[in-house]
Amino acid sequence: MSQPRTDLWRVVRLSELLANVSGSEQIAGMVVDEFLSHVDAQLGAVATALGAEDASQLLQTAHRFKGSLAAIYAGAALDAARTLEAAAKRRDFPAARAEHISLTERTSELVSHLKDWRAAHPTATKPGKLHG
Amino acid sequence: MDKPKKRMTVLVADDEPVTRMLLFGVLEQAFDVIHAIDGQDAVEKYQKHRPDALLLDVQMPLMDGCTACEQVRALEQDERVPIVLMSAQNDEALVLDGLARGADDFVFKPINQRVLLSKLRALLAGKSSRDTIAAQRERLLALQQETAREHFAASAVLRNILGRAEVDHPSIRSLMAAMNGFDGDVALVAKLPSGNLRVMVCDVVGHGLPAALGTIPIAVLFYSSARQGMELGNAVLEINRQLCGVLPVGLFAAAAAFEVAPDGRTLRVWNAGIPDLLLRRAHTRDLVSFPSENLPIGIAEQETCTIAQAEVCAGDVLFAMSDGVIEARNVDGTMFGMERVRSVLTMDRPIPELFDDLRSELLHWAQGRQDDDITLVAHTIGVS
Repeated sequence: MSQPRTDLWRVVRLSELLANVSGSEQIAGMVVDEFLSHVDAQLGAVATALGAEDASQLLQTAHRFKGSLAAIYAGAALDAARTLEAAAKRRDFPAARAEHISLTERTSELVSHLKDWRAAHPTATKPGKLHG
Repeated sequence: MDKPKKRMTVLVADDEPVTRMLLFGVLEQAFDVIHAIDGQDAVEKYQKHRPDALLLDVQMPLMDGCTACEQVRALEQDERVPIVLMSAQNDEALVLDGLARGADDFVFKPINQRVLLSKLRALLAGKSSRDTIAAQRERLLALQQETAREHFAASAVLRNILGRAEVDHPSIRSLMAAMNGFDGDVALVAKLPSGNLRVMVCDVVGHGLPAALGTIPIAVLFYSSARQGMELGNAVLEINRQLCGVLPVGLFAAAAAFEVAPDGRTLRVWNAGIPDLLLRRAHTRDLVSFPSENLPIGIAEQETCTIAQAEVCAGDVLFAMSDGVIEARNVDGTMFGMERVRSVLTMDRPIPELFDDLRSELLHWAQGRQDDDITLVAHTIGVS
């Protein structure tokens, strides 16, 4: 049974991602794959910083994860990351811990939706033109 | 077949990998994309690849985007590469800081593809114009250097042909000042077989090398006719006739020639287009004018010419000048004018000093400014 559009829209706005890459499912797929390959490490880095109560590291990792979520046009998870980043700026660890729980749940939901989308939209991996 | 247009390259610097992938997706249809993971990496890759534009995230580890922007600007030589900063925060202080440190524009996350592409295309169009201007400047400089070499060679040839304008003759004083490296004015002095001097002053229309080249046939014909002892009228008609066949349309010369007849008492003056020649009497302050009564030379062949005559005595001085003297302007733009010349030449001053007086007045008037070649010649009658 497919998710109602409003519910999916709350989790991730894939139509906006597609619009921003000229409708290319291939490129949108690459962005989704990149997110999925980094999400565990990024979320783990936030958890580590929070566990160590390292405010500077928490701010940096929360900011990076927020950027990653923004790039994928995440909805609720992005809101949680913003709130967590704001708590990190204030050095408010209790608030940060509470928001981290919310972030983890919403990210899990996001990952699930993205994997479903990916399965429904398999595209050949485009030879990477990223170079440096 | 037209050469395919080379794709421009954009360097994208963001420490966040998903954002980098998204930006690649946004840009790759229009540009080749190079990625960097932080500000320091961006600066190094700028030096290595010299991309056409940079897109730098503000907040990056190791080196932030504003600092990277500053460093790239310091590394630039002749070019100015477009730099756009990215930020999640639309913060006035941040924007002002970024622009002050060399950024050309800002975009805010989440990045809008159309806005980003429009900004990059506008900035790159400006860069393209600057690159074109720089290339044209290089070509102009090369052309300027080549022209300078040609002028040097031409100048040497002209010097050899014309020799010194003022002959070392005690009766002649002269002021010759070319507006630029080449003089379209010429003063020629030749000794006739009779032993008298014939003097010719010419002002070829325009100035610079074309005008200077026009003086060559005039000089050759003048000396040739003088050597043959040709009568003044016949000489100027012959010079004019030959010039009409030599000079291109649009190139001609105002000229005057004069000589004292073998009796030593009759001055003969032919004026074809230069300002009045002025004869200052030795024992009075009278001036006798010899206005132009002939067409300038090189325009049309003539069958006859008009030569004025006047009785002279030793010590009288004849002044001939090109219009560069009359039209010399001061700082207010006022011309020196014929009235000023007459005023100086009728001063109660020793005759031998009048040339220096007129020259000093003229140079003081112009204060180094010069819009035309200047020639002033004074011939003292009876000095040999």
